[in-house]
Amino acid sequence: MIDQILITKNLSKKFEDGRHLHFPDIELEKSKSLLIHGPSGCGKTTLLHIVGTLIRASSGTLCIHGQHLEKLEARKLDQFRGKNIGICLQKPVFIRSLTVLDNLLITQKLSGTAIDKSYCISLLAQLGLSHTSHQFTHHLSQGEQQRLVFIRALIHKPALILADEPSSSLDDHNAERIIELMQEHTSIHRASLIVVSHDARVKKYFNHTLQML
Amino acid sequence: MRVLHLVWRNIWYKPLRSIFNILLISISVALIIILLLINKQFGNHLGKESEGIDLILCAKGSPLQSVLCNIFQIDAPTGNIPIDQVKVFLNPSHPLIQKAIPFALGDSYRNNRIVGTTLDYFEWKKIDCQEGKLFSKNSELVIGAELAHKENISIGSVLTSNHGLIDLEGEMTHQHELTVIGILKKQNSIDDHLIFSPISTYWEAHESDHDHKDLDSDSSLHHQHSVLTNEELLLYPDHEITSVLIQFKGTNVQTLNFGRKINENSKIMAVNPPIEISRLYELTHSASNLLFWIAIILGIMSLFALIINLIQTMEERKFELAIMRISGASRLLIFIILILEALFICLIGFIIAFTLGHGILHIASTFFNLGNQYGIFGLVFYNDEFLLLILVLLCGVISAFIPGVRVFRQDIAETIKRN
Repeated sequence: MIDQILITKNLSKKFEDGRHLHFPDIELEKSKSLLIHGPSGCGKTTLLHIVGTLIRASSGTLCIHGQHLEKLEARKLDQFRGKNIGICLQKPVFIRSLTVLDNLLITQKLSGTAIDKSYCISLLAQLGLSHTSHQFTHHLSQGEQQRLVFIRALIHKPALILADEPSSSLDDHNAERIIELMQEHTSIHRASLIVVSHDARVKKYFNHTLQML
Repeated sequence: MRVLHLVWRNIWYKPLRSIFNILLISISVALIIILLLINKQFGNHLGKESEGIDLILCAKGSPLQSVLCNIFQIDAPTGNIPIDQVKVFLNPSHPLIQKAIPFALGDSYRNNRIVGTTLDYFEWKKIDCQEGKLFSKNSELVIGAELAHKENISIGSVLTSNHGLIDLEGEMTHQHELTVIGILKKQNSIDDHLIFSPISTYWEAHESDHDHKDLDSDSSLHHQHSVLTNEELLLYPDHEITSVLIQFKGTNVQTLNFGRKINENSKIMAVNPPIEISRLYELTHSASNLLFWIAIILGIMSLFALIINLIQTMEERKFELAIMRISGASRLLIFIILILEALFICLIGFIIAFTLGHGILHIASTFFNLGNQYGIFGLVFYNDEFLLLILVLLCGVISAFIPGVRVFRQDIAETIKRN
């Protein structure tokens, strides 16, 4: 049981407009990757948000890292998310008043993990962003921003990384590069990776795919 | 990386907006600080200078002018009165009067007033010399500590006085030479800015002028005897003085009716300083009230501007706030960050206002002589300013409350979807 980083059962989400989405069950082992693939509007981002504890499911069970999260109070859920989950959003968003390095340091602070500046610098170096550490994030190129989003998701050493359409706005070369980087570094850092995408280009990089309709 | 660092960087990310907020707060709070300092100090000044003076006896005229002239030394005398008309009050054995201090006013040295009085004045106010001694004969002067410093006057300095309270470039200069023989200890009162002489010096100076004019017809100068006490003053009933300050032995029906009876039955005027001072305070108070309300309106405007700024900031940063929530920040922490931003802006605004308020008043006090005349200084601090700081910070918390509540209600997933 403890070898599973994520287990979901009978998850569903009922919206105010009456729509009711039912999601397939997921079991993901530690250090493994999973692609959730499907067309736009099938609910894959909603599933990602439920797994990322950003919204609560209307029914079903969600267990991450051995912890059942359905009834965890909001404050503890924030702490749990900060400590165990790293999320890469589709569009890069950063704290604009802070530099690249400060964005990473504040993420460590907010997640409740110890501040480790050298780790931030080493991750920036690993992903080829050393030169940007003292720049403001809006001065970075799109590819650099995408890589920085991933570094931020990794910076507090989470057990599970969730990425929402990481390749959708990138060309073939950069899409390939970011997926490879994610695979490589989640493996190095022994994290599990779930990528949600409608982009057929990324399918070939994953052994496990959950197809949603 | 601390949260305070983030707060600080957020404030200065859009500097113009923050500076506008800070300026609005600074101006309104500085105005309130200036009014506070003026009201407090002026009120204290009025109370301190008039302390122990129950009645002023002087020539008939404006009672307020009489108070301004005889207590605060900032207006012209209402006229002169013959000693004969006040001799009963100068009598040391008067049953109701504890102290009677005669004044002769109207002369000056470089716009600084010369007060002719008796030695009873120094005994009553418990003033000693820090250097030299009190006058013991005509043509001798003692001088206030501040004035001696300002005009660079020392023991042995010889001065010539002007007739009148304004220096008219020698046109009205008395021929009589006066020698400084004592410098008073600093009193932090109007006494620090005055020159004191025996009353008889006043008479001598004025008679000397007359004698000079009539020099051809009568070469013999008439020299007055020195008058140093009230008893000696009573020997000259035909001479004139400006006023007598009266302190009663106690308060009873007789003392309460004392002034009214004098006003009804004599040619001199009795003025009750507390009544005139409260009238003066009311006059100045209405002006300061107007300024106070302008400051309050400015303060309310700055509060609204701060609220609008924070709401706009929050709207612009909603995705950033969502990212912070995703990274593990609780709603409360985001709320606290927003409050800290408002508090920092208010604190910076207060510090600037504090510096501005005291600085402006200090400069005004120095240039316009507010300290000497009205007891108003810039570098004086009151506990009320600390209360004002608390109030300003409280306004900061209130202004952060509305955007803070919106942050509390923010749905992270919904916000991300809208990005």
